[in-house]
Amino acid sequence: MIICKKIWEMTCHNMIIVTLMLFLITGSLIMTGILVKKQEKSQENADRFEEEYGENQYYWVTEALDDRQYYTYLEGDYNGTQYKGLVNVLQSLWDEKQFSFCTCCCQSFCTNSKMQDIFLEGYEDGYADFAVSKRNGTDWYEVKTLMVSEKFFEINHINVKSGEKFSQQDYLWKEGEIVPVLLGKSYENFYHINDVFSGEYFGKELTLKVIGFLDDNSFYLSSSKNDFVSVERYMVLPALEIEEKTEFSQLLSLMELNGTIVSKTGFQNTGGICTELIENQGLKWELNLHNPQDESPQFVVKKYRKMTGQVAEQFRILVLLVMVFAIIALLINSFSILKKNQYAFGVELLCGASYKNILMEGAGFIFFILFTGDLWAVLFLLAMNSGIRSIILIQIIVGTASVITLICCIVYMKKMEIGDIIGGQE
Amino acid sequence: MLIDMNRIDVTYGKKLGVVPALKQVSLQVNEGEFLTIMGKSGCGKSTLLNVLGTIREPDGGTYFFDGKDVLQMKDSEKARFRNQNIGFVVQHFALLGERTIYDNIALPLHYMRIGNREIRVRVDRLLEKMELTDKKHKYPYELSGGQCQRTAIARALVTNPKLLLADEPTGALDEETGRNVMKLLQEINKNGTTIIMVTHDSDFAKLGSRSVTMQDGMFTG
Repeated sequence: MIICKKIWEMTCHNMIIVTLMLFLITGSLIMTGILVKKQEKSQENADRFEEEYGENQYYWVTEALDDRQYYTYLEGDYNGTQYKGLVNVLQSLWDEKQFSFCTCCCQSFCTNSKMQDIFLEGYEDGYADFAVSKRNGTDWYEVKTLMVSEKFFEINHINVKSGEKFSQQDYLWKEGEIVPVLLGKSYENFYHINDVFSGEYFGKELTLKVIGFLDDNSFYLSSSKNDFVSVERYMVLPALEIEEKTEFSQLLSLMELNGTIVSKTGFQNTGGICTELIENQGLKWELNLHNPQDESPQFVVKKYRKMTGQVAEQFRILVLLVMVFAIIALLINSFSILKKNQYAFGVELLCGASYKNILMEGAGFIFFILFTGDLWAVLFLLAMNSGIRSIILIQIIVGTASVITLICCIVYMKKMEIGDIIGGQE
Repeated sequence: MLIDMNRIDVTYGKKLGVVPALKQVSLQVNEGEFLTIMGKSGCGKSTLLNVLGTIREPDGGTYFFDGKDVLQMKDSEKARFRNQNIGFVVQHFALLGERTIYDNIALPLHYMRIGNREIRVRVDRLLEKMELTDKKHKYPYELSGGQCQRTAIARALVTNPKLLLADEPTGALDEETGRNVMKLLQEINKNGTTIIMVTHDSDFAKLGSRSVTMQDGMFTG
C-alpha cells in the first residue's frame, strides 16, 4: 500500500515527464505491434503469391504491329472493323480462362496543375526536370500513370486502402465523362478523395477524379524495369473501354494490349491462344510475348519475397531504434526522478523501510510507466484488430524491457547512497 | 544491557584509497541511559549512529541489541528491527515535504502494517503531546524549525522504540528552541527511552547521563 502511494506521489509530482514517457512507450509499442502485423501481411502476401503463381509463368505482352499495319489501323480503318476487332480481342484477353491477362500501360498524364517532383516521369532517374515543359508561358507536368485492367490488382495483390476501387462501370467511358483514378500512397500527403486533375492523356483532354488511395507496400511487375516497382508515386487509371471509334479510343485500345500474362500452359500454348483470339476477329496482327529466363516463376517469387522483405526490414530497423531509444529515455528520466527522491528514500529507510521496499518503489515507478504504456498499446492494437501475435510480441518486449530496467534500477539505486541522511561520510 | 558493541570497524572508499571512519570502536549502553557523543566534524560520530541504526554495515566487529545479534540479520529483518526498536532524529529534521505533518508522523507505522484506526490513535496522541494538533494538516514548509523538530521527534517515538538516535537535533535551531528540544528529549528519556545523541554543544552534552568524546574514529574519553 505504502509502495503504491509512493509510486503515485512520484507520478503526480512528475506528471509532464511521466505523460511524455507514456506517449513514447505507448507509441513505440504500437509501432512494434503494427510492424508485426505488416510483416504477417507481407508474409501472407508472399505465401499467397507463391501458392498462386509459383507454378505460373510470366510473360510481358506488347503489340507488334509493323508500320503499315499501324497506320492502316489508325488512318485507314474507315468502317471501324479493325477497331471493333481490337476491342473484342481485348475483351477476350481480359476474360480468358486459360491464363490471366492484365493491361498495364505506363504513360504520362500531362497537366498544367503544379505537381510535386516525385510524381513526375523520370524522377527516380534524376530527370524530373525534363518532365516539365512550357506551353504558352504555362508549365506543364508529365505525371507517371498506369492504365490497368481489372486483373492488375489481383495479379499484383494490390488493394485499395481508402476510398473505392474501380467498379465495372468505371472501365466504360464515353466522351466528356470524368475518369476515376486511384492514387499511390505518396499522394496521400498532398491530395484527397474527390480532388480533380485536368490535363491531357494521349493528347485527349481528360478530367480525372480521385476515388481512392492504394495500400502501402503495393508493387507491380514492370516490363520496362524487369522488376517489381512500387506504385506509391503513380496515378492508376482504368483501362477504358470506349465504344465509339475516335483517334483517342484507337490509340488507347492499342496501348491496352500492353500488359502481363500469367499462365501455366507454357509459352507456345499461351502464344497460340493469343494468336487465335486475334485471328478470330479477322485481324492479322501479332502480339509479342517475352519469356526471358529471368522471369522464371522461382525468380519472380524470389523477387517478390525480397521486395516485401526489404520494406519490412527497413521498418524493423526503425522500430528497433525507436524501441531502444524509448527504453533509454525511460531509464534516464526515471533515474533523474529517482535521484530527486533520494532524500525521501533515505527518510523511509530511517522509518523502517528495507532496501527491498525502496527498490520496489523505484522499480515500481518505472514499471508503472512501462505497463501503463503497454496497456494503452494493447488496447490500441486490439481496436486496430492487429492480431494476437502482435500483442504477444509486445508483451515479450515489455517483459524483456522490465528485466533490463529492473537490473539497471538495482544497480542505480545501490549507487544512490540513500543511507546518507545521518551526517554523511564522517 | 541494551547495546553491546565491540571492535567495530568502518572504512569508506575503495579504489581511490581507504579512509577509516571507525577503528575498533566498542560501546556499551544500558537501558534508560542518555548518552551524548561529542567530537569534531569527521571524527566518526555520525558513522557510529549509522551503524547503531543498522543503516551502515560495519566491516568488522560485533553488535548486540537487547541480546540480539544485529549484524547477522538479513536486510528485511534489519528493517523490521529498525522500525520497531529505533527512532531517528536528525539535524535537518528529515521530513517529507510533500506530506502533511500527520502523514510524516504516521510513516513508520505503515511499515509496521498496523490498521488505520490504530495509526490515527497513536499519531493523534503524539500530536497532542508535542502540541502540534492544530498543525496536523499542514506541511513542513509551513512550520517553524522547532515545530519541525518536534514533528521529527514525534515520528521517532510513534513506534515506541527502545532507542532514540539523535544526530545534532539542535543544530538547525536557535538557542531557545534548542533548549526546548533538549528538555523534550530529557523528558522522553525519563519515560524510559534510551537516547544516544551526537552534539557539538558541550552544554547540551552535559544534560545526558553519560558523555563520551570521539576523535579519529575512536573514543577518547
